[in-house]
Amino acid sequence: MVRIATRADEGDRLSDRGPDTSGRETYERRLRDTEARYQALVAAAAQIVWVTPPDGVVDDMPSWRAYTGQSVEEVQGWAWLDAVHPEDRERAARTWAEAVATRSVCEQEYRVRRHDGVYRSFLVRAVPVPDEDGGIREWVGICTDITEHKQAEVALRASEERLRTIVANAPIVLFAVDRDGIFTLSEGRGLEALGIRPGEHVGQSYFALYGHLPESVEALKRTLSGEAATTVNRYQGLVFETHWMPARDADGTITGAIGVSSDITERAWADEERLRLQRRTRAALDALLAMAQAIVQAPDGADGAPVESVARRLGTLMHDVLGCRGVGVIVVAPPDLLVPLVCVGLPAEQEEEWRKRIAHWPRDTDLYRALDVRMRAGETVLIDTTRPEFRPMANPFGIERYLLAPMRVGADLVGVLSIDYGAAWVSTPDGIALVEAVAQLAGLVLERERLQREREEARSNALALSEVNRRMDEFLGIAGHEMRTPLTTIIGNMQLVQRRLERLRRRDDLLPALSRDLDEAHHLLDRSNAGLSRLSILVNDVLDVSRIQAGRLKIRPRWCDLVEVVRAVVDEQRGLAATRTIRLEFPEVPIPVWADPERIGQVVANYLTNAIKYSSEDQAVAVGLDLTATRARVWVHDEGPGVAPQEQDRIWERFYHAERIEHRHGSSVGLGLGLYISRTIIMQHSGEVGVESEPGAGATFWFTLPVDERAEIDISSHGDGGTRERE
Amino acid sequence: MGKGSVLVVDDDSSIIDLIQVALEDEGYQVYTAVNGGALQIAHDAQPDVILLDIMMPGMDGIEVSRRLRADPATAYIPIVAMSAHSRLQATTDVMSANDRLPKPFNLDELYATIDRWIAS
Repeated sequence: MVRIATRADEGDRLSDRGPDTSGRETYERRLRDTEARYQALVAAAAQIVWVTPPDGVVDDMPSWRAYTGQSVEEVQGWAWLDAVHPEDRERAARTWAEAVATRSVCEQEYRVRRHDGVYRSFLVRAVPVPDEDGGIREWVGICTDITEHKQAEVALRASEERLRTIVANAPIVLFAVDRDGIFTLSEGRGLEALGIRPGEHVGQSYFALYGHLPESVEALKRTLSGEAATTVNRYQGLVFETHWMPARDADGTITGAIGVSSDITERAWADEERLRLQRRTRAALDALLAMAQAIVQAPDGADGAPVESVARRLGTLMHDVLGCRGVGVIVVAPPDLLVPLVCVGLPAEQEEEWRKRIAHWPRDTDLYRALDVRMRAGETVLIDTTRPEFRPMANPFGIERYLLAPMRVGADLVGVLSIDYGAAWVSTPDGIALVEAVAQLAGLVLERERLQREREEARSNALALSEVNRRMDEFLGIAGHEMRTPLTTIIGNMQLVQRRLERLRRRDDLLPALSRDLDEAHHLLDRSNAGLSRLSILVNDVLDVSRIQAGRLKIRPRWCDLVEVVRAVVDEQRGLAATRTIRLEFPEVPIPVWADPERIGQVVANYLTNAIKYSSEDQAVAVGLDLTATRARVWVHDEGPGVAPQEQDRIWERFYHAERIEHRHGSSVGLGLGLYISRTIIMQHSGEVGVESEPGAGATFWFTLPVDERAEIDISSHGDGGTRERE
Repeated sequence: MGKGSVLVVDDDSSIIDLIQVALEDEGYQVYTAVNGGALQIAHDAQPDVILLDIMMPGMDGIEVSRRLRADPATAYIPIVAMSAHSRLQATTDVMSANDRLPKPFNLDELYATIDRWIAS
C-alpha cells in the first residue's frame, strides 16, 4: 500500500507531462529526470508502470515494453494483450474494458510474458486520473510482480489446508484453555469418538468437564505453571494420550495451555495385549510345567479323585492360564460321542444349558462334519457366530465368538476345548499356539486320568476276580473234604461187601443158581468200584487244586525209577480200560529221577486217561520215554481230534475245556483240572510240559524231568518208601 | 481175638460202623467212641492202637490226643490220625500222632496201617 501511494505521487507527477509550450527544455529535462527516476523505480520495484488515454487504448507503455520486449507497435491499442498469458488474456481484456467503461478502479491478476518468454504473475491495478471537469484525463496503471508472493501464498494455503485436513481428520483433539481453564479451542476428529462437536466445549471449564480425570487436571495445572506434560487417559472406553504445552504471549507470559490429544486406543490395546500375552505366556509356561509335574508326580492310581473334580481343576487352571472369559471341556468318546465335561465361566444355570446343548448337538449337518474333520486334523477354529457359515452355532450365552481347539493324544481326538475370549479378542499366532499347547496338555491330563481310571477298574476287577477265585478255592476245599467222608464210607463198605461175597463164593455148598447170582453181583460191584475210583480221582483233583491255590501242594521227592513209575500207571490203566490198546516205547534201563513217584504217576495217569477219553476205541494210545543228557521226556500220544493251536496254551489253565472236542469212551467231561494239576506238579519238579498237535491228527502230551547222569544210585534201596499218603 | 484191639474215635457214625465191621471181620477187637468219650475208654480198655479222627465237633482230635498223651496210662498208645482234611500232614505233626490215614482209604490201607502199629 505504501508503495502504491508513492507510485500515485509519481503518477501525479507523471501526469504533468503533456505539451507545455512555456518551457520545452524544462519539460524535456524534467521528462528525462522523470524517465530516469521512473526507470530506476521500475527497475527497483520490478514493477511496470503505464499510462493510457481515457479511452484505455494504449499509445505506448515503455516499461511494459522493456519488460516484455515488445515493440511500440506491439503494445499499441490492444496489441499488448499478446504478452498476457493466453489463459488470462480474455479475462484481462474484458476486465480492463469494463473498468474503462465504468471509470472505476481496475484491479486484477494475470500472467505477463517476460522478454525471455517466462510468464510471471502480476497484480495489475489501474486508476482513472480525473480532470478539472470531472472527466478522466488518463489512466495510470501499475503491474506488480507477485509471482513469489503468489507461490508463497499457494504454499501457505496448501500447508494450511494440509494442517486443517490433518487436524480435522486425524483422530486427535486440539484444544486450548485460558489461564482459568476455560476452553478457547476444541477441534479435531478425535471429538467424534467422544460424541463432542467441534467447538462445543469452548467457553466451558476444563475443570468442570474433566475434573474426574485427576491426572489430566494435574497436567493442566502443571502446564499453566509453565511445564510441558504428557498424560494417558482412559475415557469412554478409549485411550487418549495428551501432550500439554503452555501458551505464552509475546512477553512470555503464560496465557493458557494448549493440548493435543490423540486416540491411541488401538496402540494401547496392542501394547497391553502384548504385555498380557507375555504375562500369559509366562503364566502358561509355569502352568504347563505344573501340569506336567502333576502328571509325573501323581501316584499311580492312588489319586482316587473322580474325573469331574479333576476336570474342574483343569478347567479353572486353563481359565487362569489363558486369561479368557470362559472355558468348556468336551470329551470326544469313541465312536462319536460328545460328553460335556466341565464349563468354567458360565453361571450354574447356564452351565446346565451348555451341557444339554453339547450332549444333544446335531451331528447330521455338514457344519458338524466339517468341524469334526478339522478338529481331528488338529486345527484350531475360530467360531464367529455372526458369520453366516457359523450361524447355526449361535448360543444363548451371549458368546458371539469362541475358539474350538482340539485335544489330541497322538493322532486321536480325545476332546475339544471351547474358549471364550470375549468379542474383542484378536487372533494372533502366539495366542493360538498357546491355546493349542494348553489344549494338548489338557488332553494328556484327561487321557491319563482316563487310563488311570481304567487301570483302577481293571485292578478292582482283578481283585473281585481273585476274591471269587479265593472263595471258589475255599468252596472246593470244603466240598472236597465233605465229599471225602461219604466216599470213604461207600468205598469201604463196597469193599466189605466184596470181601464177604468173595468168601461166600469160595464155599462149596452153594446152590448153582445162587452161585450165578453171586458172580453177577461181583461184576456189578466191580463196575461200581471203577466208578468210585473215578469219583475218588475227581475229589482228589478238586482237593489238589485247592491245595495248589493255597500254595500247599507238597511234593515229597525221593530217588525213583521213572520207567517203573510210568509202567505201573500204564498197567493200572490197562486194567481199567481193558479193551484199549496202550503201546509202550520204553528203554530197557532204569532212569533215576529225584521225584515224587505218586505225583508223577498222577500226571502220567492224567495224560493217559485223557488220551483214552479223547480217542476212539479202535485207536491205539502210545506212551513213550526219551532220554537226553539232562532231561527225561515222557510222552503220551493219541489219534484223537487234536488240540487247536490257539488252545494249546489255554488247556493248561484251570477249569479249561477244549471247545468242540467230543470226548469218547463214554466218560464224563471232567472238571478241567487234570492238566492244570499236572503242569503244577511237573513245574514243582523243575520240569516242563507241552503238547504237540495238529488238529485232526492227534496229540502228543509230554513232560520232562531233570535227570542227573552223575547220579549213580541204587534205586531199589530208595524205591520202597512204604505206603504213601495222598496228601 | 488174636489180632489185637483198636479204639476208633470219630464223630461220623458211618465211618465208625465201617471201620468196626471191617476190623471185626478181620478179627480185631474194636472199641468205638465219639470225641471226648475216647479218653475214658482208652484209659480203661488200653487198646493196642487208637484210630483218631482230627475233625470232630466239640473236643477235636488235637485236644483228645493232647489229653491222651497227658495221661500216663494212655500216653504210650500209638495214635493214627484220620482225616479228609488236606492239611493232615501239618496237623498230625502238631498232635504228635504216630501215623496218618487219609480219607478216603481202602480197606487194605486200613489193615496195613493198623498192623504196622500193633506189630510194634
